[in-house]
Amino acid sequence: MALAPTDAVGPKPGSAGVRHAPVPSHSAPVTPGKVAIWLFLATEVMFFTGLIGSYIVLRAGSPRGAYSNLYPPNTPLRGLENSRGVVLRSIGPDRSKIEEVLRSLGDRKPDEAEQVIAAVPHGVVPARSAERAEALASALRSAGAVVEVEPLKTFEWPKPYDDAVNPLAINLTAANTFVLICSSVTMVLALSAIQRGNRAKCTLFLLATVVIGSIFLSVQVFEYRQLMFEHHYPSGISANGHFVPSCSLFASCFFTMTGLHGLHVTAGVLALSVVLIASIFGAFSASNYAAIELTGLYWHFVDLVWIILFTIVYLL
Amino acid sequence: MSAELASSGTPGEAPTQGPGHGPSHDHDHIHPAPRFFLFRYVFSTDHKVIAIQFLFSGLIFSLLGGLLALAVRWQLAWPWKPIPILSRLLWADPSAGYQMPPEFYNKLFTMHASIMIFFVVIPVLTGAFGNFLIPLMIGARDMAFPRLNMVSYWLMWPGFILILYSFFVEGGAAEAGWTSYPPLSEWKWSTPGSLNGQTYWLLAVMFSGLSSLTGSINYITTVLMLRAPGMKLFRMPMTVWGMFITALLQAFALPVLTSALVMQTLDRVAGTNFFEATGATVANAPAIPGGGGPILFQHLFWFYSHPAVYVMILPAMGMVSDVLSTFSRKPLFGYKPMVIAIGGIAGLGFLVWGHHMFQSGMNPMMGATFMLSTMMIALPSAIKVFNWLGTMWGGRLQYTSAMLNAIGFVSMFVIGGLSGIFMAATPVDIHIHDTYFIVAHLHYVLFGGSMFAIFAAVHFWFPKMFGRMMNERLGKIHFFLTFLFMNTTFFPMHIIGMHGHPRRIADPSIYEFLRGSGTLGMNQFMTVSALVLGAAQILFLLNFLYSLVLGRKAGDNPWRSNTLEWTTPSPPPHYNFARIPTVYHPPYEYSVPGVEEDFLLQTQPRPAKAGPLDPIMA
Amino acid sequence: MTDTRVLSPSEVAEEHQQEAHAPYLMVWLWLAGLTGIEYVYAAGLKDFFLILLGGLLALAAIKAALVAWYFMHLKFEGKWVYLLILPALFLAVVLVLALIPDLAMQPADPEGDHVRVEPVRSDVEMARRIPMLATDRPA
Ligand code: HEM
Ligand SMILES: [Cu+2]
Repeated sequence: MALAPTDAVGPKPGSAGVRHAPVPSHSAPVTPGKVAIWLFLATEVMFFTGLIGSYIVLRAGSPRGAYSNLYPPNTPLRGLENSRGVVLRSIGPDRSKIEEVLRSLGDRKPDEAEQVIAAVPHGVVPARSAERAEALASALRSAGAVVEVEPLKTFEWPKPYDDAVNPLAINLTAANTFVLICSSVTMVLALSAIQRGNRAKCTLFLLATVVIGSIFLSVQVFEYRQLMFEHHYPSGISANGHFVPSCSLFASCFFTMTGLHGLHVTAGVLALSVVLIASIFGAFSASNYAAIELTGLYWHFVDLVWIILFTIVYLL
Repeated sequence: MSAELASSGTPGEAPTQGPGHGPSHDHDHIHPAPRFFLFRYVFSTDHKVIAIQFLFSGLIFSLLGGLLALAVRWQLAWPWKPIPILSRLLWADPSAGYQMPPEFYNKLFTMHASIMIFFVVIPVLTGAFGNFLIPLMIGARDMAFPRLNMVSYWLMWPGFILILYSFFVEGGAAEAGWTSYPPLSEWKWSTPGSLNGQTYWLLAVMFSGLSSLTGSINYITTVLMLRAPGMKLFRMPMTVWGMFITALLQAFALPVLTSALVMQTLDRVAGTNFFEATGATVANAPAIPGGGGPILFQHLFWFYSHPAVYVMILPAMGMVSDVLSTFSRKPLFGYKPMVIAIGGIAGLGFLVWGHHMFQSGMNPMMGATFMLSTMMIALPSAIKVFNWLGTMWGGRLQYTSAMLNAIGFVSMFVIGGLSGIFMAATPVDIHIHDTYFIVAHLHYVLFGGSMFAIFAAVHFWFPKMFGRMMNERLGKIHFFLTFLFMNTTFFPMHIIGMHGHPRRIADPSIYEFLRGSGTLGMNQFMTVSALVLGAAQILFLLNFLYSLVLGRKAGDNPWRSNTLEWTTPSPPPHYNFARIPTVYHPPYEYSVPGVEEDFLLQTQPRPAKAGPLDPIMA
Repeated sequence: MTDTRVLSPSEVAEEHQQEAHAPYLMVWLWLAGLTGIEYVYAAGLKDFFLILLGGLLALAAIKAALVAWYFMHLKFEGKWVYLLILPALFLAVVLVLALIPDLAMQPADPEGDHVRVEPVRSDVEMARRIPMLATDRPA
């Protein structure tokens, strides 16, 4: 690289018309902000790799028998292979009688009996043998309940749509996924509007994005509340009827991944709110919209992560 | 044109005319420095001020880290003997003879390593020198995102506070080592430090990580986007290359550590069970339901922390290259190969993390893979060593304190690198893993490497940072004492390590074979050396503080060096360059034939007489 | 990638003007449609894990690609973006692959379908571990 002194002189930054060969002219311009945000997204890729990668290998390594339709996760099933579960579908007219049976024949403590009833139509009482299960079932039937007897089924990982092991509400979340996708569209429309100089439209689309993003978050908060406090789940999901991070590895992974994603959405909503306010005060124009573009990139990325999470956590 | 320009800039004076660089410069506003003290020196967005903030906080924490290390040494040399003064202050229990509680030893080595790595070496190398040098060396007015830069410094503060506070929580500071392996770090009952201290440790390290992450994004963007005209990538000084590649390492590796720390924190506070083995039980405690894997944490941790050891050496290598070339008055031998070697070290550095886990029950197939990749990483490391030697070979060496420390770096890195190759061989590592041999290795690369590079860099850039020279005589005495006692402190560790002396053990004398006067004698020898080594650092501190106020005033370019920072006044003004400079050649044009001086600033074109640059080596 | 310069904002705008009409609404319909397909697919094939896995991952990948390509304007960006993203994706794959032997491949359990725990030695111990265990609670 013998250099003639002249070729050493770079173009004047900012001087019009000087475009460098490495960037084809149809490419969008490279700005420090964009380099930084893409770098940041690369770091986010690695962060979610840490979480999602751990999930993938922990799940793949989860042994058959880690989950079952009758016993709480990670119950050692040795010696329990012949268990039957009495599944209480409905308690019939007389609740106290059912409770009575559960306490006596089912050998439940009062609070445990209540827990089983709360989980109806999926209240599970495990029994170690078919005879005991049948005895309990018929007693419950004669007390007016609708019951079924199920054999022990084991799982490596909670199967979607199986109420005995998997508490996740797929319908709700599918709808929520759609919501987040919509917010991505309004985001890109906001950018497109300001690029054409339409400030009012841009502001409206930004507002829509913030609102739709908040809806997504609210649904997620609602879902968490259902899982952790309100709803009662059968014993195959959690020993105490509530789906909380500590009740299984599945729960740990679920809450960690969706929770950290939720934090990212929250950060996105906050950032977008700032952008929205700036937009209301007329900060952006057809020649000045970097903040919208960069926040948008982050927002789409968060959407993208959710697309993956929805698939691998809920549907698989 | 070149002939006229060659003589136009006198050394140490900012060139006034850049050819082809008219006055119109869109992004080239010169902002005055803020006038209020608070914004000028505390919440400053000036990369130079932020650099100095990083430097000072790093130096302060190094004092604490150093004292912790000396306490570790005391216990190893004279197990359970009360430490003078300290014992009476801390453990006022005469019935126990004022002896150090056993778990306190765990706290000492854990916090020593954590503070030194996360709060001293990384922040000083990248935060202080990266911040100070990147914009100055590439000819920029500041970082690409000055405010983000400020945020990245202030993100250190929650870390500082949490890590200090953790000493005072119930159970005291963390005890699981800087590696923080579960289950020790997760089960609260496993040791007092795991009760609360560990949580604070996790948060502190996360904040330090966030600081590095924001910093690295800033550095990469700055290097990519803000280079002065003519500053092609292959004209950047090695320091900038080192910082740039370090920032890439951090950007891609740190988030994985963050995810692991998040999971460990959740395991501790939210009851998740990522890192707890199914059904594990300790001392008849109830079995842990769950099903994660302790080894998962190790993988995630080392996926970051092996690259992190390069984070602690690549900037050092870059700075040492610049110092060596300057004081050899010779071009850096093999500039481009050096760059490629740094890149190679960084790239390979992502694929070797398993060499820390040979004894962790890792799949043997992976052990072999990681052994191979680790052995390969010695190649680019060796290239660098030979190039440094080649740089000095036949040069007109000037033995300034900076140069001495740089030479110290090279020689100590050779020893540390060689012991690394020993450990990379799985059969050997079976014997020496978790012994003092490892401790010897890491101190040769971290003290002998990173610390000597930091000393070299402080001596070298002090004039630019503060406008005053450091005292050379004190600097040399400090260097010789440090060099000597560093070796007497750390070399015997190889020997006792091979003898089987475990690391992280409070009282080696519980083992018959470590009770003899040989091991104990060596331990005492090392401790005495360490005390002198520690005392020698007082000289450095005095020199630093004295020179800060009373040092001889420095000119713009006291070392007659080539890179852009030496074209600015010392210390540089808020905006760095009165006019953005234009760069004509790589930074190592020393003793160019046909140039009167033995150096050629990057802002001055090479004379035609000098002939073309070597396409491969320069 | 390296020698790129900052263009002035007006140029930026100009450049985008022509391409701003990307078919965002079409993409939105596609995303919604694919989500619907995923939903039906997952419900219908829930008992066939491998088919489920392959199909759903493919669908998710298409959706993710649509978002990145159109919404994140990868379509319009220069190669430099890939220089940032592809190394990250490469390292992500390396990391997960390296985790597999130690975590995903469990040592075969000689006794078959059991959780990896030490054997339960007595009913009492079992009851202690599983407080809610049904009908055989020790008296
Ligand atoms: C030629 C290059 C190097 C090789 C082949 C190498 C190899 C190794 C190996 C195999 C280990 C693990 C030993 C064990 O725990 O059994 C290790 C540990 C270590 N290395 Fe290196 N290393 C090299 C350079 C470096 C550098 C440049 C640094 C830092 C600046 C460094 C810092 C460390 C540290 C801190 C540990 C101990 C980690 C712990 O606490 O367990 N190494 N090295
Ligand atoms: Cu390593």
